[in-house]
Amino acid sequence: MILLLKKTLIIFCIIMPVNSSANEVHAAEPIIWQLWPDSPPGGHIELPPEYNKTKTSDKLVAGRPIIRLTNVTTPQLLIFKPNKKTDNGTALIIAPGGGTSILGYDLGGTEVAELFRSMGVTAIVLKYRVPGKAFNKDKKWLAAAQDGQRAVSLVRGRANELGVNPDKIGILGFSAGGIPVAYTTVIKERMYEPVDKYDKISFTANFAAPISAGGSPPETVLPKDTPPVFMIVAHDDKNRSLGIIETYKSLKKAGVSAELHIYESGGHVFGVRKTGLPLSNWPERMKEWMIRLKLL
Amino acid sequence: MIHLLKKTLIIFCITISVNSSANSPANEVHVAEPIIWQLWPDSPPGGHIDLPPEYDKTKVGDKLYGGLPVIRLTNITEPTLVIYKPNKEIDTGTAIIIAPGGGTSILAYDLEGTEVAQWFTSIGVTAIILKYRVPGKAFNKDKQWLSAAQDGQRAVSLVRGRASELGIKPDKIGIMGFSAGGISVAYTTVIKERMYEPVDKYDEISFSPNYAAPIYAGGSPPDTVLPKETPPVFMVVAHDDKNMSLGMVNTYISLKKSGVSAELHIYESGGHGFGVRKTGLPVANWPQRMKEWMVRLKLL
Repeated sequence: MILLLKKTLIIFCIIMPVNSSANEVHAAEPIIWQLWPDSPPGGHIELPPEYNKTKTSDKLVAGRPIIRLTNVTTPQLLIFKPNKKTDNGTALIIAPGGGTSILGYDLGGTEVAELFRSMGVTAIVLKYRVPGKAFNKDKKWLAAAQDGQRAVSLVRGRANELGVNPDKIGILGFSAGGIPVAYTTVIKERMYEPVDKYDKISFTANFAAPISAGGSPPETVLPKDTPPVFMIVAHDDKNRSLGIIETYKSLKKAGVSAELHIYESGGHVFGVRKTGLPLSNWPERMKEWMIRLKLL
Repeated sequence: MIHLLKKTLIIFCITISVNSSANSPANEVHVAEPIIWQLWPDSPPGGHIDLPPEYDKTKVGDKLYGGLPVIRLTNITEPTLVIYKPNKEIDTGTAIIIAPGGGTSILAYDLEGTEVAQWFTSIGVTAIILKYRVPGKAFNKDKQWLSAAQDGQRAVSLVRGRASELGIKPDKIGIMGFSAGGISVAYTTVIKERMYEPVDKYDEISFSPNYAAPIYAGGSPPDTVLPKETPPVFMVVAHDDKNMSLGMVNTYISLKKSGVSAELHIYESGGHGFGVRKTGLPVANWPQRMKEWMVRLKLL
């Protein structure tokens, strides 16, 4: 996969100018784990090779393009370890967004991983299967949900290999990446048949951060044992803040620890890029919150 | 008033031992001499009410906030504006009226007044403490909120009407209120009816502020329809402040549905009554959030 990604990047760099800081992100070599020992649930689906759908005419974010990966049939974890000196044993699984049709792989993946890695967190990009409808025609969210649950179980089960504290495994998702977050945070039912010993291990995250994600329907009753939740959304991101605020209300009513920042502007797609808006400092809010929760 | 306040502070410092380093920034606030305006030309609406002299109710043993006591002023019968100007070099022309909290029975005068004013003057804002009438029930038995509402509306009209005297822009006047100070915010921001009979030319001037910031204030009931022309609103509340966040969330939802510009920060912890004191919690950095928001709205 890394070869393919590198090839994609090379092509990408030929087509589009990318500034050097974006390249630095890709310079750190991740550890790569296959998510499933054999085929993912539902079996292997044959699709054309994975590729970056981005075209020169696509919208830029903070002046830069986004890698839009699709035809991801073999889900993986890309694990970025922090420097030993700063490693605090906390891990964060990062689910990029992309409407279950693509993965905003750099914007909502590797760039975010680099940022959390710099805080001493083991950052794990969840490269879940897309397009979701190719795997489950009428349940395009299912592949993301299954891959998310498997990711938490696997990371917790193999925590010692990564030097990660099994009680400090969080999950963060942008937009459609909120599906893996929801299915590992508030859903208790495993969405696939266990395939090995790791599926005996809890898939519930120890902390969760849906960012620009869809919320829950009004009056949803959430479990009291839901882990602490940190949420970011922009007021001008269509009606998304109204969805996430329902999640907030449900968390509050269930007595679950929660933090929510609704920034006046920022739109839907921002990742951790510096746009000049106050919203782009949201990682600082999350860092402060993680310190408060003794995750850092 | 300033004499009384100083006297109050002296008594306060004698009665309660406060460590000197923590005390010095609070003193600095009072070193800057504010301009004081009477809010009403004669008696406030409802006429003058005779009460014992204004005093600080705080006793030794009262709860500390950020490790410090709080001045709890009561028996305020003659409401005033206490105006702190920023240094000329940094003056942005923006003003903020600050309504302290205290459940309409007292004013948390330093915690949610002078200390906040000090912070705003440091970022170039003319900071105006609204010393509204308390206890509210002494002025309107069954409407303990009314004096805070009237004084708030009058404050915006008066500050806007006399803006040139203060060197401020009449279209950059905001209001913020802590807890019960949210009454003054609500009655200037979303309420369109003036709650008193006009008394002079200043009451011909709009009492709607140009921006508003209710901080750990009560929110609106669910499904409240708010006017589309409501000015931009900035809100901060702590998740662990009883059910306060659920009220603010309702206000947020109503603002969003009306298409009004809004920002809401719900911090995981902080309780009620944190003011701008440094407690070590992330919520204590909320003034930075407000500053960023004001920069974004070109208020700074």
